[in-house]
Amino acid sequence: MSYVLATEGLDYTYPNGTQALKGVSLKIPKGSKAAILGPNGAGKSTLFLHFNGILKPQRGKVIYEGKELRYDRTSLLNLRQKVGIVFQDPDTQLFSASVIQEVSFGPFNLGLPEAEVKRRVEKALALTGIEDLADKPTHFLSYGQKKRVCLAAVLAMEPEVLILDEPTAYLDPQLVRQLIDFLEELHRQGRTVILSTHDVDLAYTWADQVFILKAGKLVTSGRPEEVFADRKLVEEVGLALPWIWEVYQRLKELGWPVEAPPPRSKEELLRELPCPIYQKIGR
Amino acid sequence: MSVLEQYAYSNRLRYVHPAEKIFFVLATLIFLLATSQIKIYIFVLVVVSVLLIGVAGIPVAFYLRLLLLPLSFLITSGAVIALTVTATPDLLLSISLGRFTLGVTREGLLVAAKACLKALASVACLYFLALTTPIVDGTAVLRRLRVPGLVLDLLTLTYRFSSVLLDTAIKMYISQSSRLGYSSLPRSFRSLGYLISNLFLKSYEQAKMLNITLSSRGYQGEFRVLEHPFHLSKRNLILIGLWLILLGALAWPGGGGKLVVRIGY
Repeated sequence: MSYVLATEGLDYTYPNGTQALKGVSLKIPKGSKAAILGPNGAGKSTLFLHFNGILKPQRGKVIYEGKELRYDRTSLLNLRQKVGIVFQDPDTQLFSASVIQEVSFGPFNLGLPEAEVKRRVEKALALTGIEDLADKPTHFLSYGQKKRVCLAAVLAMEPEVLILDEPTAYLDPQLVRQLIDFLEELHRQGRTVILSTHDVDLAYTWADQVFILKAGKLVTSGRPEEVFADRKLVEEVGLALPWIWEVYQRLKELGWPVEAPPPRSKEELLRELPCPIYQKIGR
Repeated sequence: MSVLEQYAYSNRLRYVHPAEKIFFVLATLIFLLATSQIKIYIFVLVVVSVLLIGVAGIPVAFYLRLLLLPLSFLITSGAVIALTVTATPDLLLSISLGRFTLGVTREGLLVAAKACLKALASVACLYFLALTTPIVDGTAVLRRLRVPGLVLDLLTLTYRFSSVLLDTAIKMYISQSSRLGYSSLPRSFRSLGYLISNLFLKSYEQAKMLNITLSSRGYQGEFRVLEHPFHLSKRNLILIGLWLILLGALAWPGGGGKLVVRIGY
């Protein structure tokens, strides 16, 4: 398996003395859906800022596509085209007075000609379903709309790796579902999607790689069913077990013969639920 | 978000080339400043108001309320201009104050009325710009006029973050008053102090964060963004030209008066 992003022994301490990362080594497979889980203050955002070269490791290294990051102008510009971050608070990201300007900012920084910028902006607006907002001023928008503009602004740079910091925070359930569908689509196009969250249900259902961080350290990582199998560890970190996983485990304990692999979604779980009525009808 | 701005984005002149609108307003303003004829002031005030209400589609009630804003200020300062203090008491209205008389003369009234109308007509012109042209379009024109990019970037950032700042301040104010922060005068002072100092800290944090989010999208010291493609309209330019010729003819000493009469009847 090839890895798109990796870190080795990453340390980072903020000027105020907060040790945000302590020897983090992890590898994110290319084309994967990775969820970085962890309680608040675990170091998720700091890790992300290393992924696109905003922060320079104080010790250890960051590796993109097998090569250690370099921090000169050209290399950084190159990296930031390939690794895009959607930040948690849209108001810190939106600087421009109108949506179309905001979305065109990134592509222009890549030195693309105006016609190509236009094409990309239109595409990004269409992908995120906000064409009708193009000429709106950014401060007219609702929170959900602002979030989508931020997403479009990063997508317009056509990154290979999309990083989203707490993308579902404050979104209503319908928007969360739309976002997840959208990320699924990006995944199908072969892009790597990394998101941070403390929503274990989301991580369990969506991700194919889960990393758990706590107090700046990588606690565990692997496929969701491997990671959540260690109940004690997950609870020690301050996270809960995904409800689907809990129900599935309880069914097994009750002696229900579950043959299939652990269900990943509500639908898969419901299909396996023991149902006496069905059995009666069957007889 | 001010209502003024909402109209700037939704009025019927929104997609007229901003350069045309700016030129129209600037030229008219210069005319107003240069001339001292009351008929020009009235003419401009009426025409600009009709354009705003009839063409741009700004609701009459809203526009009149906007005009009332400077009116209160104009009336007070107009009154001061109209008042004369003199030793020779041949005034239209007067109160005598010992050796002097305070009152209004015909000339004084005329000067005051002129000043007020001049100011009102100029304000109407500026409202025309503010109600039909969003800031974004304005900066696009300034960019064409080769105003340094740094100035324009600052303008954009100031504009964007003044609304963020206002939002933050409102949120803080609500959270403070929901905890009785403004229930008495001393407490209000203290709460306001907290609000202002916190606002400063938050802005600082926000600026740092902005630097990060911009860098992560490859920012290298220049904001380059797409601008709405506007097209100069020959018809509009001719209309503006005719408007200026008409103003000139009206203002021309001697000949202008007759022209007005002819147009008027």
